[in-house]
Amino acid sequence: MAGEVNRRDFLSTLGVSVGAALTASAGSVIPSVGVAHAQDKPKGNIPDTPYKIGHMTFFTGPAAVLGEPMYKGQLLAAEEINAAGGLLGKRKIEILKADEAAGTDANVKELRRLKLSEKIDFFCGITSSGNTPALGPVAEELKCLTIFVDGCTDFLWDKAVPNPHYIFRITNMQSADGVTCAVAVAQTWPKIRKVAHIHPDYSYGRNAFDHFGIVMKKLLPHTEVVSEGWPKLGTTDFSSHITKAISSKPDLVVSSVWGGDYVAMYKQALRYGMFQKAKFASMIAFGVAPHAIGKDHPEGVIAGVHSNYHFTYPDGDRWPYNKSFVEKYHKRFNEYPNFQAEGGYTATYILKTAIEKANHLTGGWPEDDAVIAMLEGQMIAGPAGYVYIRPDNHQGYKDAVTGFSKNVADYPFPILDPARIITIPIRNITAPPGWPKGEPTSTYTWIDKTWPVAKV
Amino acid sequence: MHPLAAPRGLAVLACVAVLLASASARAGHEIPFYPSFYPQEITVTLVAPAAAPRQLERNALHAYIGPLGSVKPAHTAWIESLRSFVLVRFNPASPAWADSARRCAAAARLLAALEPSRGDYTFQPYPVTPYHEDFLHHGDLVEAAKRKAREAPRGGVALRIRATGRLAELLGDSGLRPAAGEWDAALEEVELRDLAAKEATQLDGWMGPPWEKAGWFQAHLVYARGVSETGARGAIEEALARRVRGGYASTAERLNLERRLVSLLTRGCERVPVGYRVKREAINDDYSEGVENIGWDAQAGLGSAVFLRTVKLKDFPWNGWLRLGLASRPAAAWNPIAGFGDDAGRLVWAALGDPALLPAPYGGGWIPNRVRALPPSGDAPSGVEVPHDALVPDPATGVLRAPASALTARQKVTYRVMLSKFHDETKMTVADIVYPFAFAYRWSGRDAEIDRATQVLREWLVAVRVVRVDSEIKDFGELQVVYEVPQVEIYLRHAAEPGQAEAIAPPWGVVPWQLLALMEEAVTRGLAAFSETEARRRGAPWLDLARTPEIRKALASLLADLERRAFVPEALRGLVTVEQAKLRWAALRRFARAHGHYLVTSGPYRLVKWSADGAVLGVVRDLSYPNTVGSFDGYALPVRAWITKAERRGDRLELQADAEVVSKFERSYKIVREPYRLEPTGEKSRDALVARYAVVDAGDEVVAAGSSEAREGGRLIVDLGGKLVPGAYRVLLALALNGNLVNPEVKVIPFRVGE
Repeated sequence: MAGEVNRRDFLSTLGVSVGAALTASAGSVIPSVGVAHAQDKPKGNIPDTPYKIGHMTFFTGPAAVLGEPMYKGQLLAAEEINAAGGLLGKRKIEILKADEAAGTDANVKELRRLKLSEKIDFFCGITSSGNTPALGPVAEELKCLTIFVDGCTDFLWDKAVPNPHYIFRITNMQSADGVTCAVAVAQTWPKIRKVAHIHPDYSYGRNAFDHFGIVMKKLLPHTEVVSEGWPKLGTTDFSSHITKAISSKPDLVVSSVWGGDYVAMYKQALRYGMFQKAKFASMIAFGVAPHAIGKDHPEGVIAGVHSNYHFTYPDGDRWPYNKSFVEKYHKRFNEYPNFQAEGGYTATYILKTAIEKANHLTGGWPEDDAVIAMLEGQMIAGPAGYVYIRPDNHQGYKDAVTGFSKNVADYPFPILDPARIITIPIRNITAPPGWPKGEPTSTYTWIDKTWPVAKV
Repeated sequence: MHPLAAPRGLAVLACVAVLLASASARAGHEIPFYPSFYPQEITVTLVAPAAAPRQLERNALHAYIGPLGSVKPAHTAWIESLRSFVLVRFNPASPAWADSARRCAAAARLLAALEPSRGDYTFQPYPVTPYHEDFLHHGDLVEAAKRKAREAPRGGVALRIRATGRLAELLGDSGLRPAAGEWDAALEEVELRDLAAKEATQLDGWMGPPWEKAGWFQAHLVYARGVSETGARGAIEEALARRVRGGYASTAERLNLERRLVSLLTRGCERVPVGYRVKREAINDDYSEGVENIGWDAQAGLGSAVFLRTVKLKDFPWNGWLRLGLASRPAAAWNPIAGFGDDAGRLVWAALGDPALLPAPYGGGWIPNRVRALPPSGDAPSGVEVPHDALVPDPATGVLRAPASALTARQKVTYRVMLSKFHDETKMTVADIVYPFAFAYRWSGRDAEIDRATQVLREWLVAVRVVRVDSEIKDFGELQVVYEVPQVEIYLRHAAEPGQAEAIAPPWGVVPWQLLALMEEAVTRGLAAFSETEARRRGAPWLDLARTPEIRKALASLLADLERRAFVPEALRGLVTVEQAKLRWAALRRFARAHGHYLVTSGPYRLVKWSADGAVLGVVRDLSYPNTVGSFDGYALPVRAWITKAERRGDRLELQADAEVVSKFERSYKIVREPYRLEPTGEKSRDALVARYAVVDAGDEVVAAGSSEAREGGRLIVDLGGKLVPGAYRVLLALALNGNLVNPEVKVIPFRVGE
C-alpha cells in the first residue's frame, strides 16, 4: 500500500464514516448481548453451584470513575443472566470484588488468592495498563480463564503475553487512540498546517503522540509540530503549557491529558481563549464517564472516548442493543454507561455465549479449553457494535469511535454530537495478524511501513 | 558518636525514589497515583454567617465551616456534628444553693420543666452524648437519667434562671422567665470548639490527648471546674489520674472507672447536664458546582482533616478549586507549636500539617495518617525491657541519650513511619521524627502551653528506638514509588489499650528539624513566643511564620546566621552532619525567599497566599507524599446499622441487622436501609459490621465488654460463654458499620446466667 495516494481515497479505503450508524440485521445469526435466556436447552448435566467471577477494578481513588462503571456493567449482565436461571440455566453468577487500587503487587497476590483460595471460575475487570502486563502472565500460570475489560496497553500482547491461551481483552488497544484521533483530524480539518501538542509526560502521552504523529505523517504530511508540552504527572497548573501552545500560533492543539487533569486543563484553557484560537482534538476528553465533564466544555472539538464507546452511539433506533443497554443500565444505576460499563457488560455476555456454544458441542459443563476455543474468533453484537475476538492474540476488536462535543438539553453534560460520530473499522487501523512485533508498537511500524503518503 | 548515626547512616537515606519508565508502553492513561487529595487548591475565606447562604446559593462557596441558621440554603445539604453541651449551673455565690441535696432536688424539678428536644437541641440529662464513642458504655446510665427526669415531680420550680438567646427558649412553658438580675441557676452552653482550643494538643503533627473525643474526658473538662467540695474534687482527680495513666487491669475496670468519673462529676449538682446541640454546616450540593464524597468528624464537623482528605468537587474527577467560607477571621498566630488554635487556624493546619494519626471521624480512636502502628506489645507486670540502643530523653534538656542503666517499660508500640519530602524539597530523615521529642522536653518548662500539650507524652514516654529503615514499593506499572520507612519502637511507662496506645507518643514531626530550631532560636532571643499565653506574659509577639512582616524579617536574619554556622541542635549532634545541616538551612532560606513565609511542612497542601481574611492553599502532588487521592474515601458518606432482632441461644446472642447501603450514581448518591447482607466469601469490603457490647450487673458495674465480628448463618454472634458468673445482667449492644459509632441505637437485653 506504500506510495502516494489521494487522501480522501485513502480515508475511504480505511472505512472512515461520519454520522453513520450500524444497523442490526433482522434474523442475524450473530449472538447478541442482553439476551439472558439460554438459546437452547443445555446438553448434559449442569451443576447448580455458583459460577464465581473475580472482578478486580478501581473502587477507590481517582480511577474509580472508570472502575465503578466497569463493575456495574458486569453486575447488570450477571443479574440479567441470573434472573433467567444462570449460566446454562443453572449456575448463578457470584461476583467477588477486589479493589485494583491496592497496587500491582497486591493485585497479583489477590488474583492468586481468588483463584487458589476462593476457587474463582473466571477473572474479569482491570482498568490500569500497569496491571494487565503483570496479571496476564499470572493468569496464564494459574490457568485462570480471564477477560480483561481494559488495561489496554499494546504491551500486553506485544511483550508480556505474546501467545495467550487463558487471557483475553475486550477494549480497543491503546494505539487506536492516537490513530483514531489523527484520522478524525485528517477527515475533518485537512487544511491545518501547524499542530501543537500537550500530552502527559508518561507512556500514554508518548503513545498518543507517536501514533498521532505517524498517521499525520501519512495523511497530512504538510503539517508540522510547532509546540510540545509534556506536563508531569501531578501537574495542576497547565497555564505554561497552554500559553506555550497558543504562542506557537497553531491551527490545532492535540491533547491526551485525561480525567481530572483534563478538566483542570480545559477550564484553564477556557480562560486563555485557547479554543477560540485553535481547533482542538483529544484522544480521551470524553473517555472517563459522561457525567464527569461539565457543560462549560467547549463544543465542536474532537472529544475522544478512548476510541471505544459513547452511550449515544450507535443510535438507538438502528442498533437496539445499545438503546436497550443504556435504558437498562440507567434504570438500574441512575446514570449513563461509559466504555468500561459497556466492556464489563459485553465481556460477561461473550463469556456466556462461549459457554453455551461449548456446551452445545461437548455437553455438560464445558472445560475451560472448550470455552476458550469458542471465545477465539467469536463475534458478538454488543452495545458498541460488533465485537470480534481475534484468535491469534485474543484481543477484542470493535470499530473505533470518536466525535464532536455538543451540549444538548437532554443531558446535564456534553455528549458526542450524534450527527457527527466518526467510526473507523478497527482492523484497518491495527497491525494485522502475523505482523512482526515492533517498537514502539506493532501498529506503529505497520502504519509506518504500509500506509501510503497522501498527496498534498 | 550518636547512637543512631554510625550503624544505620539514617541521615543520608533518601525517603523516596520514583522510577518512571520512559519508553515503555506499559501504562495506560489511567495512572491511578495522585499524591495528596482531590482539590488542587483550597481557598479559605471569611464570610459572615448572614452572607453565607447567598454565597452558597450562587455557587461562590462549596462549603461553610461553622453553624448556619436553621433555614437550609438552596441546593445544599447539612452535615451534623456535636456542637455544644447545655447545662445548668447553680450560683456558687448564693448560700441558698450551697447544699448539694437542695441543688439536686431543684435540678430534678427544673429538668422536668424544660423543653424537650427540638431543632438542633436534644434533651439528655447525662454528659456523654451519642456523638461520643463511649455512649454505648453509658447507655444504661443515660436511660436512667432520662427516666429520672421524666418521673420527677412537676411544678414547684421557683428558681431565678439566668438564660439568654436560644437558651431562654428552653424555658418554654415552664412558667419560668429569664432572670435579669439576681439568679439561682444559669442555663449555659459550652461550645466543644472552645474546649478543643484550650485542651487539645496540636503540636508539630501530634494530636491528642488520645482520649480527646471521649465523653468521659469532655465531661471532666466541662464539669470538674464546677466541683467545689474538696473531697469530691480529690476523688475526681484521682479517678482521672488512674484513667489517663492506665491504672486499670481490664476493659471492664476501665469502663467502670470512666462511669464512676462521670458520676462523681455530676453527683453534687453544681453543674447539671441538660442536653446537647448539634452543629449544622452546609455543603454545596449543586450538580455542577457542588461537592461530594464528604467525610467529616462527628465532633469537629467540616473543620476537620478528614473533610479536606475526602471532599471532591463534582465538576472534577480530581483537581479543582475548592472555596470554603469561615465564620471568623483568622486570629491565632500561624506556628505549628502553639498556634493555629482558632477555627480558621485549625482548618488551615488541617491542610498544611499532617498529623501522625487522625482522630477516627465517627469513633473515638485514631486512624493512620503518616504512621502505622503494630498492635502494642507488653503490658506484663514485669514490664518490657528497654534495649540498650534506645534513646531516653533528658527531662530538662530533651537531649536523647542511651539509657545509663537497665530500664523497663510497661508497653512497647512499634511504628512504621511514612516519610516524604518537605515543601522545601529536602527529604525527611529520622532526625526530623526524633527531634520533636527533644523539643517537647526542652520547652515544656519554658512555655505553659507546650507543657500542657506535651504532658501526656512526657508522662508516658520512656524511650525511643529506631530499629531500621525499610523500603516499601508501590508499583503502578511504569511508575514505581519506593519509600524509605523507618521502623521505630516507643517504650511507654504505662499500658494503654489498642486504639489509644499508638496516639500517646507517635514518632513524628511534620516540620523539618531546622524549622523547629529556627523557631527555638527566635523564641530564645525574645523575638517572639510560641503560645499566646507566653506572648502575653512576656510582652512579646506571638510567633507567626507567615503573616507578621517583622517576625519574617527577624527570622530571615536569624536563618542567615544559623546557616552561616551550619547550626545543628545539641539533640541532633551525631545524627545530622554539618554538610547536611548546610543543605537544610539553604533549602529553608530558598523556600522563604520564594514563598514569602516559613511554613514548611511535609503535608498535603502548601500555603500559597494569605490575607487578613483567609488563605489559599495549593496541593502538593509530589510523588513522595504517601497518601493519595482516594486514600480516605472509606470515610466519606458514613453509614449506620441497627439491630432488628436479638435472640439468645445458650451463652450467645444472635443478632440480625439492617444496614445502610450507599448507591452512587453520576454526581449524586442515595443511602438505602436494607437487611444486612453478608458479602460473598472473600470479598473485600470496608463495611465491616461489628457488634459492640458491655455487660452490666445488678449493681450497675460493667463486668464484661468487647466487640464481635463473628458471623454464622447471616447473623452476628456475641458469645458471652465463660465471661459471666451466675447472676442477672443487662447487655448493652450497638452496631458499628465501617467504624461508625455516631448516634447508635443502644439495645438493652436482659441476660441471666444460672447456677
